[in-house]
Amino acid sequence: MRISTNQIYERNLANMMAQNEKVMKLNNQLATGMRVNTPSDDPVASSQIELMNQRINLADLYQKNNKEIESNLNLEEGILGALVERIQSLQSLQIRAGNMSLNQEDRKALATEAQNILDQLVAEANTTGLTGEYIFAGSKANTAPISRVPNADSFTYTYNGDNKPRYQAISDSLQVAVSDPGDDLFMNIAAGNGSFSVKQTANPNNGSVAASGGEVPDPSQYIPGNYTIAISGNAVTVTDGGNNTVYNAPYESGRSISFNGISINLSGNAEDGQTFSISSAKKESIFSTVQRMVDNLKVDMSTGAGKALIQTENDQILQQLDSALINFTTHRSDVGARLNQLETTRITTDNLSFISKEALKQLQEADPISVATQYNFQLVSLQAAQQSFIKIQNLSIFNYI
Amino acid sequence: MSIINTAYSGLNAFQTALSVIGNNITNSTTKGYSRQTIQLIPSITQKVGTSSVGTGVLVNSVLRNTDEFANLQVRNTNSLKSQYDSYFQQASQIDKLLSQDGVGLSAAMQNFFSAFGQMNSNPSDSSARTVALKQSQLLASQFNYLQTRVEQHQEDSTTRIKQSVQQINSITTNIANLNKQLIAAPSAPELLDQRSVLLDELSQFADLNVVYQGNGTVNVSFGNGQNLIAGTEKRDLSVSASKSTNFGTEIKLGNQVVTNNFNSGSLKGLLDFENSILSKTSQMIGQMAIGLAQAFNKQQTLGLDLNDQIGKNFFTDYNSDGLQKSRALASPHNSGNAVLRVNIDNVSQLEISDYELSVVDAATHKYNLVRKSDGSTTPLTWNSSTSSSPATLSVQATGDSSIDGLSITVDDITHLGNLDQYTIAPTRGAASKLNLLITDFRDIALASPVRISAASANTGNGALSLGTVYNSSAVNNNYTVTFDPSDSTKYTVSSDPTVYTLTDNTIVLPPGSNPDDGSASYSVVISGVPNGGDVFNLSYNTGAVGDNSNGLLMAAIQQKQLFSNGTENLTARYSDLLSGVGADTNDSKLRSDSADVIYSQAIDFQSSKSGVNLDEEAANLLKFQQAYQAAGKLMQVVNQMMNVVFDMVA
Repeated sequence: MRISTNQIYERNLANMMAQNEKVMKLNNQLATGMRVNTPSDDPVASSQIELMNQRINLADLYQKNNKEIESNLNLEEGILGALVERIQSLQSLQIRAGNMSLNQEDRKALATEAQNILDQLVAEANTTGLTGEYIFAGSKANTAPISRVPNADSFTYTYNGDNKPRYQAISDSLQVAVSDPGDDLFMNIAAGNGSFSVKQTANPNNGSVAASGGEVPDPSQYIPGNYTIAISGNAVTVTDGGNNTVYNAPYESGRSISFNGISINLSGNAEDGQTFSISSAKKESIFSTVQRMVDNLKVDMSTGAGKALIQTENDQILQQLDSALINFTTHRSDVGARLNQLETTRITTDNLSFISKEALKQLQEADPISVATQYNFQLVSLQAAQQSFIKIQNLSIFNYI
Repeated sequence: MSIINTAYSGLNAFQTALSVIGNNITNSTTKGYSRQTIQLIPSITQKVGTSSVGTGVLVNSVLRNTDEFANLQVRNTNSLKSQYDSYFQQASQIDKLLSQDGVGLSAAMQNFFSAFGQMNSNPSDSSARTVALKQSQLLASQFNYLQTRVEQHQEDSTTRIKQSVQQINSITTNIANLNKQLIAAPSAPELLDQRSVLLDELSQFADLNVVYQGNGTVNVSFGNGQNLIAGTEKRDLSVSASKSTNFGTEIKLGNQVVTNNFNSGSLKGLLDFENSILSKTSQMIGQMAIGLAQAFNKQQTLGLDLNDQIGKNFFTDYNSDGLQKSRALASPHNSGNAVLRVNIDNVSQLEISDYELSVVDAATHKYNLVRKSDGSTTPLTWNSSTSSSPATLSVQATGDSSIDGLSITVDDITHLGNLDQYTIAPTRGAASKLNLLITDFRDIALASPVRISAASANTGNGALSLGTVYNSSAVNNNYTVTFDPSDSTKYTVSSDPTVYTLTDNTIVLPPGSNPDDGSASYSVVISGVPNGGDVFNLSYNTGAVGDNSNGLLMAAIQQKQLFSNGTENLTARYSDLLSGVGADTNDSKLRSDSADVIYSQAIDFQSSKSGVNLDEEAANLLKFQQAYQAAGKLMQVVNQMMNVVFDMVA
């Protein structure tokens, strides 16, 4: 084929341009370390890069959330630990208070001690977190959850939060409760023994019968309801809400009476007209339980009737402190379980993030060794093209004419 | 003495030959120059006896070495090459625009959702809310910016097309002039070379069909017989000024629209780029913006903000009256003056396409809707008895009023004229309309609108929690749910004596409403077992500054399958766009490379026919130089012979 002189120049030029382009591309890969700089470099990879970036980003967010939840739960766990200690000291106070040989001064000292602990309990329930939010107020985070209002000689306690725990996501499928609302923790503690509570309702002739907290030995026999225990003429009569007599027997101090699955111990000197009520357990707050404890310690213990009243109440309070302790320790172990869950999820998310980052690296980063090799090879080709061009363009008959 | 004439003819012919060679050498680098060769023939013989004796040499012709087939190949491959080149050049700009470190829409989306996720850790914290608001603002501007860039590229493309059209017009003018000159001098090589160069130049803009006429002129057309030049006459191309360029550039030949008539050439490349890459990008980011705005607005208006108000729209309401109207563009040739509104019912059913609505017969309410992406036609009608009123168009076959997630309403059906046309663009350009509507961080509605509290006297361990919020119509009503004392699967609400039975442990409010017909406002779900007589109070959730339950649902929109019939989330949609543009760009690069190879082969072939080789010319130079010297020697010999004769006479 004929070759025109122009063609020789242009072909060589085109060759060198093409080599140059390849050199530039490899140079760019070497300099940036990236194989995929724009989607067209590898359309499939670039779409996966996008998804990987999202996954890594989400993992980062989950880890941030995880840390934040952890610090919240650590704070809560600390408070729950303190609460458990408070209840334990209250229990020992209460056991000391059960000693009927204490004098009025001793009881007053115990009352002061209990009052101090009660104040601490209220303060702890109103704890604020790092951002100034009340941690036990549910979603009403700007409202102090517990308020105390004077009521006659005593105080009543109101919960001002709501019952909604806050959740936060720590993985695509897992949300963890960040906070526990105070109503479950402080307010809804079973009164009495959990099934029913006992209270002295009347004692016109200063009898000194004290009722124990009672128990339900066989839950299948238990019929919940309101009952009245009345002592008259040396007999004990129990009537239910419909005024039907469910128990009637002579009174004997220290003997348990049983009816409808309920068992209660009565002890002391019977006088006509002393009555007790049994009601299905409602819920009571730990604050009013402790308040009752304080109030009970202030009751005059000089008479037999006073002692009986204090003793009946003592049993109730001890049982309720037990329930509160169980409630706090249950919550504490629940928080512990959540902290474990955070830990496990953190490791899984870390792994996922690590794997995604590796994948991202493989998708978009250039292999420096192979690129450098190609780059050198390309440089040699470019040099060869340049040298051959110089040689060829030197060849012309005109040089010899 | 004819020898002297013979010698003279030789000298004369070889001199001409040398000047042809000289011309070749001096034009060896001239663009479009065709190598010329001299053709010599022996001159007429003389009769000597019965034989003939030659009388010398004559210049028969000077040949212009050209091959029409080679020229045709060069032009065809040039058209292809410049089509893919110009497509690739434009596409690679969008490719860079969308790259990870380019416009950063993906980064903006991720920052946005991260900010929302973190705000949920501290829902009442003003700084977290301010950051989230800032990121929302950035996300909206990132969408706007990307759309603006797309529009700039559209303008840029239109400008390029305008410049090309000007060049084409000036080239065709020159060719028509050359045609005129060539009628007078049909074989003038320099004119032919010039015209050939102009045709080559013209071929980079469009696919050419060149027809040689007997009188030395050529007729030039492109596409399917769109005539540019006929002899000495030519027609001008122009770019329509009237039509909005947002829908792509429109090219006219005289009065005829020829936008779709180009088969190759740089114009075809630019128009393809507008059609596939620019339109698609604009439509896809528009769809993403609409999906994001609708999902966020919906969730935001189901929550409570820090002011205890039901959330206001977060982003632009894409179904506002103004935006509904802006989606349908009436053709300027319409005889009727109906105003169309296009409502986006369901973003997950939206197609990446524009539509053309045309009135087939206004009297019988027959309309056609053509989806431009695949050309499918849906016959529409209007089912109603009133003759002049607002109406929603519906599919003729099924009566369905929603088509590809859109519903089209006409303000007055009698205002539609026969053959009226409307262009409907549901998604194109929508990204530029995405705005953040709330300005106060207190307005982000992170809390759920309903508070549920259990009465303290409850004896069961059942708990109620908020299920799904459908709308905010009944969230500020107070309800008291009381479980039947004798049967805890039955309940009454407030003072209404009607007894309802639990289904799936769910209570729907207002009582007796149904989520499926839109009457329900929200549902609550029961966990555990309530005892008979247990009471729960439902009320408006005031003061719940620490509640993030609606915020969690907002953050979950990142993973929500909003698009493509519920199969793709925002990130997946965006990566679709990336891989789509990337693949198109990559593909056009490959095509451009292979067109380059074919083009250079054609150029090689052409220059092997017409190009000057200096070695060849040097050889010829030597050849004719020696021949010239020989002829001169012959002259010398004749001279000596003459001298012999003169000596004899003297």
